[in-house]
Amino acid sequence: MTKVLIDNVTKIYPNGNKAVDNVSIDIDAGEFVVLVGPSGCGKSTLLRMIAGLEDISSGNIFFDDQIVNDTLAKHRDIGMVFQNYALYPHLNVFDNIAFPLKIKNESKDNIKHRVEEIAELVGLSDLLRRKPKELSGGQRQRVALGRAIAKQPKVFLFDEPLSNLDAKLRVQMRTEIINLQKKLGTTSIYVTHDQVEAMTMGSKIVLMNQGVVQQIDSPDGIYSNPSNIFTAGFIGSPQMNFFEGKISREKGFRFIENNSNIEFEIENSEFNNYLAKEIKKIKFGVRPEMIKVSDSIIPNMSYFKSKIINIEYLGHETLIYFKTNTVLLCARVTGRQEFALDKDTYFCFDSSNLLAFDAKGDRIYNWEKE
Amino acid sequence: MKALTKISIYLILIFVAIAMIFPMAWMIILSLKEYPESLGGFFNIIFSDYTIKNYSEALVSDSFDIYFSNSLIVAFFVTLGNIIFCLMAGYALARRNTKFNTLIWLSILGVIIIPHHVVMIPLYRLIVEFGWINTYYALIVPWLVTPFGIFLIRQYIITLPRDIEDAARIDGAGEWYILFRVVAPLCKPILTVLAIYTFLGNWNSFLMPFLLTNEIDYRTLPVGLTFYLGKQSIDWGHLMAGAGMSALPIIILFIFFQKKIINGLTAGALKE
Ligand SMILES: Nc1ncnc2c1ncn2[C@@H]1O[C@H](COP(=O)(O)OP(=O)(O)OP(=O)(O)O)[C@@H](O)[C@H]1O
Ligand SMILES: [Mg+2]
Repeated sequence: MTKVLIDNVTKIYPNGNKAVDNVSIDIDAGEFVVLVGPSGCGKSTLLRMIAGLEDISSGNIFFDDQIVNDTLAKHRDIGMVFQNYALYPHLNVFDNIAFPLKIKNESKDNIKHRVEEIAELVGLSDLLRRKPKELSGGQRQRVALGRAIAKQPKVFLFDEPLSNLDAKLRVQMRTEIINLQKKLGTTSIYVTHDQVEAMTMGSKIVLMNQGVVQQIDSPDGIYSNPSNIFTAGFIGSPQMNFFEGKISREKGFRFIENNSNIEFEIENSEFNNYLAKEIKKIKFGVRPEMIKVSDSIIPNMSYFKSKIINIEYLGHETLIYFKTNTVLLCARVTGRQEFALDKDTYFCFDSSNLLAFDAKGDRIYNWEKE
Repeated sequence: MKALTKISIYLILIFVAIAMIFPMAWMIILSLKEYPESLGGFFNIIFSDYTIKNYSEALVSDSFDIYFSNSLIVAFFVTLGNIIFCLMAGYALARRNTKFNTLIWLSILGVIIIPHHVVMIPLYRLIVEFGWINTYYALIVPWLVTPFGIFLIRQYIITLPRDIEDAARIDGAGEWYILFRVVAPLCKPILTVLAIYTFLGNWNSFLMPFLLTNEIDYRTLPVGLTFYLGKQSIDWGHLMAGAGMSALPIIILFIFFQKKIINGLTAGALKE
């Protein structure tokens, strides 16, 4: 098993585009890391640098203790699965999986044995004589998977392997990939722009935006403890609610949203010291499931009053939308619950569930110490 | 009205088909006559005796067997050369990013534009200089790679997804392996077009082989045929037999690759 260390890696394309900006990631041997971020944030570029398909502009990539910056892709000993499968269209399934083994000059018997073993593993045993064009999307992706594991590489790289599959198949393949990785124990780096994939698959998530790493954390850490407003907004669906405004100290501690009617008391005394500095501009975030919707004030909770403008029943949960002058907010409750539209309603939450962000969007952590 | 349109379309097609086939049929009829020039009139010619004498004479006493094998050897090696070298050059131009790519590409396009009569004399001088007159080298080497072939293949490779090559790289393949085992099979349609195009062009090529050879041993079919064209008279029987033999491989090629040839002509226009 191989450790992968990405150390201050930057990629500037010949046209001057800085696609990856000073990224450092530490990947343990056997770990499954998910690289997630919006389209165009440099995920593929980073992955291709790890694969050796793209030059590194500055920084280093290590496999174990060896710098591989100048090692050709063919010598890096990796397996990669591409978004569009990238199978060899002129070869049948058997030969596609056997391709890396043939290059390694394995004996015919060995190759046959190994390909059959892999076909069994990825569920392709009956399709070995088919050409890629005679396969469904899911089957093609299995072939790509089989080919990637054929030569037992040091590292697996996946570049959005499931994004061309339909929703149901995606869920199934997700589990298959995870199980396969557990079985083989190979260090894996998995790129996706889908937050559900990221949350369910990774033991470690690397969240990127515009070439810059925003946060590296466990799925739980990234969800409940985002380090900046981008992370907070990217992970979670429906999105975290944000309100921007100032804190007034006139009657207790009150948050007053810019240009709107939202105003609530912050019950938590740990804000005291921090707010002594008198923050003019602050952003609060609260997850939809942390908001309780009620006809009356709930004791010991912060709240504000507004009107429900829309309700979505999703079966297992209900989404309640309400509006301030500036933003649409959302609360989430389990099951099917009925609420009246256009009636004054109290939105209550515990202020310890509030996340605070400064004007730059960075998380404000330790209220007391500031 | 509809029926009328249909009938007129068929009439036109029949007329065009006859116009196309007639010269070919006439060639075969003439080649099967002894001294057809002495037989006056269309019906006299058709109803007189048939013989294969012209063919046997052309093959045995007029060395058509040599011309035929020369044509075959030359066309074969030129075609092979084009497939290999145009593929290599086209791939490099499509996928390798060097500073000189644009310059090389523009100069190749430039060569396509230059009419080949302009290079005829310099080429002749060069071949003389090399001492290659009356050798297969003269007939083969200058045509082993053509700018048009490079153009065709480069344009085709550009439309192929790069990921397949990247996948091969990751699977451990070297650049040569990728070129000949991954890219070449992907290029099969365009390589077929190039092969047919090159083979036909070479098989019919007359002027340069005529200039570069003056011995029977190195004559190709089109050159050999001209020797039936005398100043005073034309030996129609033998000429037609020779022409018939020359046309045969082309006709066979066309019958087998008809679909590919037509696809090749529209390649690019309909590509998904
Ligand atoms: N060859 C290239 N030359 C110049 N810029 C490029 C090149 N390839 C990608 N880019 C740019 O680099 C940035 C990152 O691209 P990249 O493909 O890594 O994004 P991504 O995160 O994989 O996006 P997606 O989720 O859409 O696949 C983008 O802005 C893209 O336009
Ligand atoms: Mg990508």
